[in-house]
Amino acid sequence: MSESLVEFRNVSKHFDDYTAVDNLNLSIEQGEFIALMGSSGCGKTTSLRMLAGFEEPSEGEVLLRGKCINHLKSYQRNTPLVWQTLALFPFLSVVENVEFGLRMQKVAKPERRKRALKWLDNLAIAEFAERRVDQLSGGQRQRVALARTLVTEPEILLLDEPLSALDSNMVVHMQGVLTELQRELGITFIYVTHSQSEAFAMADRVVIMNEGRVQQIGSPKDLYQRPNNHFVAGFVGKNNILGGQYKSEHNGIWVLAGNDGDYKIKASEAEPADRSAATDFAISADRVFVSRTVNSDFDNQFLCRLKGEEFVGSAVVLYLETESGEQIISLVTQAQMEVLGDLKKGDYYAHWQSDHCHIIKP
Amino acid sequence: MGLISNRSIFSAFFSFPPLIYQLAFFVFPLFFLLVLSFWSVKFYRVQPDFTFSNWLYIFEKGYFWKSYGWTFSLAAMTSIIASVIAFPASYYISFKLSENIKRIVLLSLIVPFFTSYLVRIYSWQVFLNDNGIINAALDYIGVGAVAMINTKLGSVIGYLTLSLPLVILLQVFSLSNIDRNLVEAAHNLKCSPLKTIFLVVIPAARVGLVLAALFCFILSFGDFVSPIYLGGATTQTLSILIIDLSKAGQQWPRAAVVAITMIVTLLATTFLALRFAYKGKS
Amino acid sequence: MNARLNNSLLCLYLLIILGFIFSPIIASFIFSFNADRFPSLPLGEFSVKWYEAVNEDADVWAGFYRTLTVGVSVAMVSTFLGFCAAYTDYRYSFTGKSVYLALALLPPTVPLIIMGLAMLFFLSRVDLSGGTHSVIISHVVMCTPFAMALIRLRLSQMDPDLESAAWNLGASQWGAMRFVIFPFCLPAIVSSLLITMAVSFDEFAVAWFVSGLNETLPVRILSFLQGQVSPRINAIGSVVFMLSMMLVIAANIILMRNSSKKTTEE
Repeated sequence: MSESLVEFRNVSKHFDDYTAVDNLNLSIEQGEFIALMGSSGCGKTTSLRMLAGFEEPSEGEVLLRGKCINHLKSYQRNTPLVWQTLALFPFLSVVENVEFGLRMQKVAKPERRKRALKWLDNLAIAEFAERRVDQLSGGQRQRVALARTLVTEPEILLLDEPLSALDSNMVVHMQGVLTELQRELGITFIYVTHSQSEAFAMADRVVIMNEGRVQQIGSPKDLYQRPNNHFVAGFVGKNNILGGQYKSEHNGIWVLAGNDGDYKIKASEAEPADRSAATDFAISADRVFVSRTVNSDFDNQFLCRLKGEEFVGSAVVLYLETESGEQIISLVTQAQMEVLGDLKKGDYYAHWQSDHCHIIKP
Repeated sequence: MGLISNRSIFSAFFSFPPLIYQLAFFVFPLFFLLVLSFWSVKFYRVQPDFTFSNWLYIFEKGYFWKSYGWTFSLAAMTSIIASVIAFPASYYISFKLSENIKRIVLLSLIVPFFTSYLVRIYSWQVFLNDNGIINAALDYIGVGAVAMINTKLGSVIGYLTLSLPLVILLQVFSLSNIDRNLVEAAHNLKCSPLKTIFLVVIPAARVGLVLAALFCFILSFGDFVSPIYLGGATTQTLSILIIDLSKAGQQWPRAAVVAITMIVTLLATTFLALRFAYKGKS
Repeated sequence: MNARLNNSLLCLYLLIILGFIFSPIIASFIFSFNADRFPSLPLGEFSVKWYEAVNEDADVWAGFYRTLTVGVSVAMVSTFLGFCAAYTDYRYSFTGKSVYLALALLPPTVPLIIMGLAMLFFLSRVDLSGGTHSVIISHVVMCTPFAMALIRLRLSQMDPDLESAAWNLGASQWGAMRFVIFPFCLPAIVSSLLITMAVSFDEFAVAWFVSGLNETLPVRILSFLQGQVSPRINAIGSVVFMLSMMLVIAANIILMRNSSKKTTEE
């Protein structure tokens, strides 16, 4: 197996007595689109800045193609970054901005002009080449920032919340542009964001971070279906987190004794859980169905009271409470709502399949 | 390793020149002035020494304390007068004028900084002379001549010429930073416009207003042109005293004593003014 | 109705204040063309004889050239030092920074007369007094804070990521300085050159102390003022004023044309 393109090996970063990144271990392969996701202060930006050369790790090593780059200055590594503020040079024209990296490499003027124009053309903004950057729209400026980093043909591109200043339509459009670009070029994109929709829409793998630590690494589908701890279950999608004491096992289905009776969950073979401890599991809100009567198709059935509802676009979130006071949320499509008829306060059954339950670590 | 030294060359290149220059040609001369105040003068020549006689000589002289009192009170009076005179104009500029006219007025207030102070003072002589323009006008409407030049009024007019544009600019700057909602909220709570000025606008702009007055005080306290050429040296200010002692009398150590007393006074005033300005603020 | 009356009263008041500020400037301009030796109303005949007198005065010309030399040197040195101090404040944090900033900003609060006294005594001890260079040395001390303030203000308007972005694109610290920080600060550098030159042009007190026999133009004016009444002051003042204003206006036009040229280019 060939070595990874980028590797964080036991990397920590402390600022005074505050730990921004705590023992990060992460390998990133050639041609991957990887997203670092988490809320502000989770260490995602610090990790990116260590890779770009703006911070030096306090402990551990950052490796690029197997070589430690801890002490290299930003200008000694080719790890161009697209900034949240874009950081376009306001005193230069669009094409001069794009040329900047080549100018620093002392590429002759006709050559660098040619290459810059080619990139502007690739990104469909060649007509603005002579404009000043403050005369462009948000999306156009975004493309200038991309062209400026790509013109030196790096094997890796870092992006720090580049879409956060755009309105939502433009964000969707630019997501398309970025994914297409990444496929075409085949270079590695490392994308830092707090937005789940951006990370999940574009990345091959998502790294979820919290308080300086990696919580889970996986494909968007993995993370969504199999959150492996409380934090991820609470952070990704809408999950119910329930739990109980292990009672018995039958055909890979565990029975847990919970407050409202037995929960049946399918135990994961990959990561066997400790049977003696209390076990928590997650069940996604869109896997929880609601009806007036018992439905024997489902192996989990619980009597609930409807406490409230909330419309979220095409779906409705139902807030339910079991007899013991557990809160359960259910995400119901408008079509299902029509079957349910008019909602009244009162008793309903919440049910779900043991297959969709997933054991999580504390 | 080469990198680290490279980096320190870069930071040293930018950090050290201003530091070295200001230490050598600002801090050191002022420190030397302090040293000078303990030296002595023999046969019209300054000699290294360590004597308190210059301090005792100056502090024993009644005329020193008299001129200290006059300089201080004239400067204090000027900064109060300038603040009061400037405020309605600053208020009008910041709250009532449209952005464009405001910009033109502010630009025109910068123009005096590009004209010679000396020329303006000379011009005032022409206005204020006993047979100058103002007295000619007064004579024309049948009022007798009023002595203006070579009086304290003349000095104050000179001080105002020096400081009024700066006072207005600083006041406008601080008034423009007041949150407009504050003023509207006051009106909304049935506070009359005049009351709003005293209860809301002035407290909110206090820091800037005090700083404006402070700058006026500093400028007036040290100026020597107005008291000589408009005040006619009728009132001997500390700055005139320094000129007399140094340029005319060759008593450099004594001039240094006066200068240091002035600096200490200015530092104390600045400290008190800033304390007052930021009182109750972080 | 009442508010309107108030507003017109305030407007009138502002005009009176502006009148107070500008009457000496305007009067000096008008009387520079007045033939009478003792200016009074009504005006005497129109005449350019004071300008001729100034033109024929070798001392004035010598002072003018000296002032020009001083102004240009002071503008360049103090703008450089001000830029260095502003960049240090912008980029680095270190212990004792408040002392550093105090050194960089305090000089204008020291009365000119005291600066003059201190500079003269110090410079004469180190054998640097009595020449044009003495005036330059002293004026740089006083002008650097203005340059520092102007350039620091500009730096605070800069996106803090801009310098890092330049490093990220392969520029060394010196490269980022040359290709990003300097061009970004250029407007402030130009206005700093002009403002410091203007401050130096008008400074007479310290120059009077340290220049010795090498009088600058403002010191020359001071000695006119000490002598008998002479409308030559008006003539010199008007010429110097015109020159200063022309410099400022020209710089503005250059800066504005630069930015509008880029705006209209397609």
